[in-house]
Amino acid sequence: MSKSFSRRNFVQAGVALPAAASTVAAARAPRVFESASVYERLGVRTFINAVGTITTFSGTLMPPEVQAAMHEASRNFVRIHELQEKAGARIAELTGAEAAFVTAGASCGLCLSTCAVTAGDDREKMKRLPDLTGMKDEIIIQKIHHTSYDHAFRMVGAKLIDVETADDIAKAVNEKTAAFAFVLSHHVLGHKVKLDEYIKIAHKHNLPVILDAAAEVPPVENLSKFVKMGADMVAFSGGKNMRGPQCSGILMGKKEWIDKAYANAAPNNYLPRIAKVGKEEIVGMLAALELYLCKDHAAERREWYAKLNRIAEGLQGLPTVYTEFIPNNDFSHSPRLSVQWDEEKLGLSLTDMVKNLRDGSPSIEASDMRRFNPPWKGLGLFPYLLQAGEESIIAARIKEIIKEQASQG
Amino acid sequence: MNRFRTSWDRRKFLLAAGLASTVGSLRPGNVYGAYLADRHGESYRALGVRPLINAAGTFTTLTGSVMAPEVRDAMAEASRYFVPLIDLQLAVGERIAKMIGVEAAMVSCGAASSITLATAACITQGDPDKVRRIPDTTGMKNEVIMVKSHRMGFDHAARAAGGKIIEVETPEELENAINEKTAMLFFVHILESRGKVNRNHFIAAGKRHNVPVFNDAAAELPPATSLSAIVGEGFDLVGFSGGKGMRGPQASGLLIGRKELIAAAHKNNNPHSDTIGRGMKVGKEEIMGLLKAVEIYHKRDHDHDQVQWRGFMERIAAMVSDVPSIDTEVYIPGPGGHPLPYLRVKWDERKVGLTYAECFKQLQDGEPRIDVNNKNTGLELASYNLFPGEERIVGMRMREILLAAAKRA
Repeated sequence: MSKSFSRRNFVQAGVALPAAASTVAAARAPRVFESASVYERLGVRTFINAVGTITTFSGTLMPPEVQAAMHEASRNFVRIHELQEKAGARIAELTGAEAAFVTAGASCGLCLSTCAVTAGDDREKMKRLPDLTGMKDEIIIQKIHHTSYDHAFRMVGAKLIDVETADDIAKAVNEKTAAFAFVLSHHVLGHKVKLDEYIKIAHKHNLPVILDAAAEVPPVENLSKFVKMGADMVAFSGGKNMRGPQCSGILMGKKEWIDKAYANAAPNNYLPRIAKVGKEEIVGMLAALELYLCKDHAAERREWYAKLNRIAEGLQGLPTVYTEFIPNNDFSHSPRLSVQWDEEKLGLSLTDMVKNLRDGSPSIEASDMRRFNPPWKGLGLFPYLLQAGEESIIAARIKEIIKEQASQG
Repeated sequence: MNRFRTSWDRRKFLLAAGLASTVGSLRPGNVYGAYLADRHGESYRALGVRPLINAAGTFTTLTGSVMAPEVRDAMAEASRYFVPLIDLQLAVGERIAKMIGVEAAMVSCGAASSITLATAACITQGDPDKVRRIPDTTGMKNEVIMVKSHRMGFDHAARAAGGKIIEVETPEELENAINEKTAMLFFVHILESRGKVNRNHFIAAGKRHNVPVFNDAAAELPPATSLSAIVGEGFDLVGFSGGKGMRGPQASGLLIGRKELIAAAHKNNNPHSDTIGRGMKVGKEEIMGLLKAVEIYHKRDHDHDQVQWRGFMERIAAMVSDVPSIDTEVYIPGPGGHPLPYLRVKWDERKVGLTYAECFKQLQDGEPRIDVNNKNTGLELASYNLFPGEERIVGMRMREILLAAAKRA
């Protein structure tokens, strides 16, 4: 009760908002006005997400069209194998992959790929996983590509064999090698063997490539690019920028390998049975993909920049405050704004700013960019999960926090 | 074009079904009008997937159950806000535990996932190093004791966490099998009547040796009392499916039981990365959907369900009563089955000139598609996944198929 009241007060104190933005706020009634009762009743904080599509922050928000598709899907019984087959065929048609199906997330996609390259579709072997005795059980990976998602390979029983250079790879490949894994992520930049070369080497040895591309859209082209490059199995997350259900993903690639991966997949009773995906998620994922492909991506980018520019403008004139767009050296090309200030002069540390934003009402999640790879300075703001009007709230809150601090100091 | 035709044929058929109905005062306009509007499955048909009337049961391959409208709405509402997912899991777990009267609860991505999480909890006890290492359980307690006749496809879910299954056949063998490597005793509720070891043997042995006892109660709802009664009997952990009797999201499940074990299970679950459960993803939508389903289920008038479901079965029996040699029986299965109304339909295959397999196939191939169970000694129909009105369609179709065959014979 008091929470929503103070929110209202906060926005009514609209003097702090840039004129244009407050008009938008009045006309469209931004999301923060809605009662978050379903979560509030549970005592769970909701927040404005300026961080990104992080799973622990519940990934993404599904557009109404995806919600509606899931809503509709939930009304009927269907045969799940038939649904997976048809949804997969449609995904393949849309992306140019030979085959595809919907998984319970990108991590699940890696697990399924590992099943495909170890047990394949041999039922006796499939039944035995994660015991890989007598099967190929080594997966080659560049040392820098180790992430916490290694578990998706290891849960099948596979061993990860570290390499750094093409020479290492040549030495590492042996009759136990099941596949080559490659991770595309801004967390693991700086690999020595590039994807195209990596694929070439793997194929020279007649071995498949498993690609973790969980967060690699945008750009939208990546949905086709990696399979075109020859990656045999590519795992995408559905609950990030495609804005599908949080616990959905796509595994796409060569038919031979996708068929083997699907043989292991839920609801078949093999190891990945534990990672279930329902009819709602399958239909929701497909709806999200279709929507994403139809989107005007250039316009979306312009909107992202516009939102960040509004924040930067809103902060102009504050003592020692400096904003900059930071260069982007990963594959996903999302713009990001860094907000910096003289922490000593203002008596306000970056850590305190992050905390104050989180603890305020509405709660705002933003990044401490010193923790980035590579590290950067200041407070990081990502625009792509901001709902209309939220950028103005962020600017107003940052301003408020700085001013409070300045008056105390 | 095609779409239009399908619905036209369907309307004609449904009207015919209504007119031909032998039971009750049927107003076809209302019943089937609503049916057509709500359950036609336009999006599925556009994909080339045919929705079905489910008189078979809550099988995952037939997509489990159809969610209640309130559950769909809860999922849609959940999808509109960002929340910290770990906080949400804890809050929802607490809410469910309080509601049903158990120490602790958590939402999993399905009953199989609950088995894996239970096993992981017992093997790792939440130790971070062990959590990272499983399914490699070298040097850990990793033996999972099961009754030999309880082994089935789902014991893979225990092996997925690194559990080594030890089979026993008698209470003495159970007693002797327990040693310092024993991590968990794994009991399968529905298979209790198979084999000489019952639940009391398991619970007592677990208590004597201080080893946690897990009960896989995937499909044990209804009766609704199972939600707390099984823990009440002395099981330390119990797993349920969310997408069966509870009519929650298909890709959801529950794990309930002792606080410290649920806490250990959490540490092995998504969204925590580098865990065995990372790929078994459950999103905010599924978590909130299952919470709503449990709330509804907890308050539901289960006696009314039984009356309604029995009525479905009786109406179908009445509708086929004029088929030569027909023999129908409405019954509730004993131990090893679900305590819900079923209908067994038998006829003289020679006299009617139609085998059970042929009738089963014609039901599937017709429009709307109808799924039943072919037991080879007769057809078996389950009542609890039928929607009001559908029983008339099922009865009508069966009568039509059987009489047409009998006429030819």
